[in-house]
Amino acid sequence: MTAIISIQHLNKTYRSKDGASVHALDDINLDIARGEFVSLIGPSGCGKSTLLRIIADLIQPSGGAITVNGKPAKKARTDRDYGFVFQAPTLYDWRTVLKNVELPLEIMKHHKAEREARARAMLQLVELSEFADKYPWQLSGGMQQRVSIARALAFQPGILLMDEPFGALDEMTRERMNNELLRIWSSLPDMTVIFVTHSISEAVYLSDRVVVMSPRPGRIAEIIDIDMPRPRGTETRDLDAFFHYSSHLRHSLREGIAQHE
Amino acid sequence: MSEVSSSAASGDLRPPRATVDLTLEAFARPGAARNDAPFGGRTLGRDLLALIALFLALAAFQVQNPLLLYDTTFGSAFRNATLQPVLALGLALTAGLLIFINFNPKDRRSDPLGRPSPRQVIASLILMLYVAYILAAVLFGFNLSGALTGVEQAAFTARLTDTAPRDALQTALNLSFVLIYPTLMSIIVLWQPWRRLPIYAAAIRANAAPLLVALLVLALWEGLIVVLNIQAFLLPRPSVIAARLAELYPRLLSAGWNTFQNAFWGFAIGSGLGIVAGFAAARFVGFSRALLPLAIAINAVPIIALAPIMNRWFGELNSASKIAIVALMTFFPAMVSTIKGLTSVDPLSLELMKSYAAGQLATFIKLRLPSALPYIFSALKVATTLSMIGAIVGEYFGGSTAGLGYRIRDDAGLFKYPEAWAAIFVASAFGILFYIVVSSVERALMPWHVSFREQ
Repeated sequence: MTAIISIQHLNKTYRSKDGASVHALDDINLDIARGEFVSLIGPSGCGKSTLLRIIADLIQPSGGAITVNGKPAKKARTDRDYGFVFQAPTLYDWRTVLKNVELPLEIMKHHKAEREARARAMLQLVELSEFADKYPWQLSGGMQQRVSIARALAFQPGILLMDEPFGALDEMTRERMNNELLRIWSSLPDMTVIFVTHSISEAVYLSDRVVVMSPRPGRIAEIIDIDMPRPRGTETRDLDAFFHYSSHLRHSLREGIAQHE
Repeated sequence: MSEVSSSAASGDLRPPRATVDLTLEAFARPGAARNDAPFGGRTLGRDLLALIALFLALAAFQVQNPLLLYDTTFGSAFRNATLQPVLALGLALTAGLLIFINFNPKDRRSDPLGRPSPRQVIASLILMLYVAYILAAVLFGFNLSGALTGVEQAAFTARLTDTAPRDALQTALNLSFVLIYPTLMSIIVLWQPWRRLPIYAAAIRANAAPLLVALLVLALWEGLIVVLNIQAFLLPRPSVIAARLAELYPRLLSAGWNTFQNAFWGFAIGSGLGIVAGFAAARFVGFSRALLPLAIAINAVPIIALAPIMNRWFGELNSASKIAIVALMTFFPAMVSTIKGLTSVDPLSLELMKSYAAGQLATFIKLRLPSALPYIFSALKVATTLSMIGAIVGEYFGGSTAGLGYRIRDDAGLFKYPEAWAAIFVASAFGILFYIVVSSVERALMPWHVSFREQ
């Protein structure tokens, strides 16, 4: 297994608005292999979103080293090595669903015919083909988020970075979206996913590995291998292993918080 | 997940909602604000279009023969050289639209079978013939009725003097009547108001409250003046104003058109430069920080107070001083709104662009500009009414005697209050029309905007 993302002694401090120095991440070390599905979980303020944004080169670390695809994070971003899915769908209201999915391809200057073909293929992948000509606000929240996944995958990046993508959805929709995501992930060979969540069951259900983080400063408390068979489905949630991992995670999270209270 | 929810994801930054929606469709679709479609999504747009076409067909008729143009009050308005082609082109546009909606295959409402009837075809042909006749006469100085009756073409464009061939012109005029009556009938055939009675009933029902209030206000105004015996020069009765308006409107239309042109060019120059300055200021933060306080300070000056100075600078009698006033009035709101629109972009959307390693230009065109459009248009809509105010008040301090501002000041000075009120009515009509046009452009450019979404 080759590490597609390698993080060593990563630190991040920033100044908050009232001038205080906030230690967001402290000595993070993490290797992620190609094709792996890794979740980052932790209470709010543990720096999991910050870590994801540093991997994406959307913000800069204060110290430490990070390589993505064997290059600096900035190079990986300008090479368009990853797709990013935000907590909100972040679709552009003035574009139809199809045109939203075409957006990254337009910026990367693909030809028109190729853009449309790829965007349509992606919409088919997320099973929204019949909504291609609708506007985002005509779709439900779950559908909007699926469009945003299609958009992130449109230019065929090898890495998918997801920042609590289903956090705003209700439980039932979220479980359906989890199944959708696993289906999409398994259909794309060697796709690496880093998935930020605050839901224990979501992390266990989706991941190969779960990185548990603790707050103030953000540290990796524990890394748990989730050894459950794939493909996973509704019955996975009834496995003893699922309960075992869930309760382990819950304890680990509680300890991380308890240390600071 | 098959349900289609019409609500958008909440929690993100939304551009300001249009507080007053005065577009054609908002007028016509009174139920839209309450999210019910009282008449099946059908609008009064077609009725408005047909009424405008009727008016323009009649007005353009005055233009085509000197006997009407110079001998009637109505015609006198259209001796205004720039108003003539505008009327003719307006007629061509509305007639074309009216014909188009009758033959639009997508609009099955025009006929249940989706096929125009022979009646509609004949009506359209007559209307096209009339439009061609008017366009030829106004734009190219070729009068068909004159050519058929053997009157010299020059007689149609020359002033009506004692030596004018009045008899020959009368013959040509009689001939042209053969065209105007069928044209008016044709417009009504294409309009088909008899099929639209249920829509009118629904529109009246949906607007019952505001209509009642309007009627009540008019009745009270009229009644109280009679009962309390208020002097006519303090406040004329609405019926008197209406009568004076009916009598004077050709001249007021001409005066309004002159004033509107100043308003329009001032609006175009002021808002245009304001938007460009906004682009520059949003792009170069230093520029913006240096300029914005000054802009806000200048904007706080009541620009109207500068009108006498502008008159001195740009010439009292010409249009340039009025255009300058309007441009100054509309510049800063446009600039400030543009800056605000370009800089208050959803931060996640910006991060998305960054994640694509998108350049400045791509981010501007694909994200900042569309996000800013609602802000820019709300400034433009405010500027439409501001520009009419500026153009009129500019004329109070001296200017062309052919403008509305001059007429209002003059009539009021001579205690001709009904005339002044009629002129004020025309001024506000121009302001509202301008607003509607800009609102319609906005709606056409951004049908996706939150305030236009149909449920």
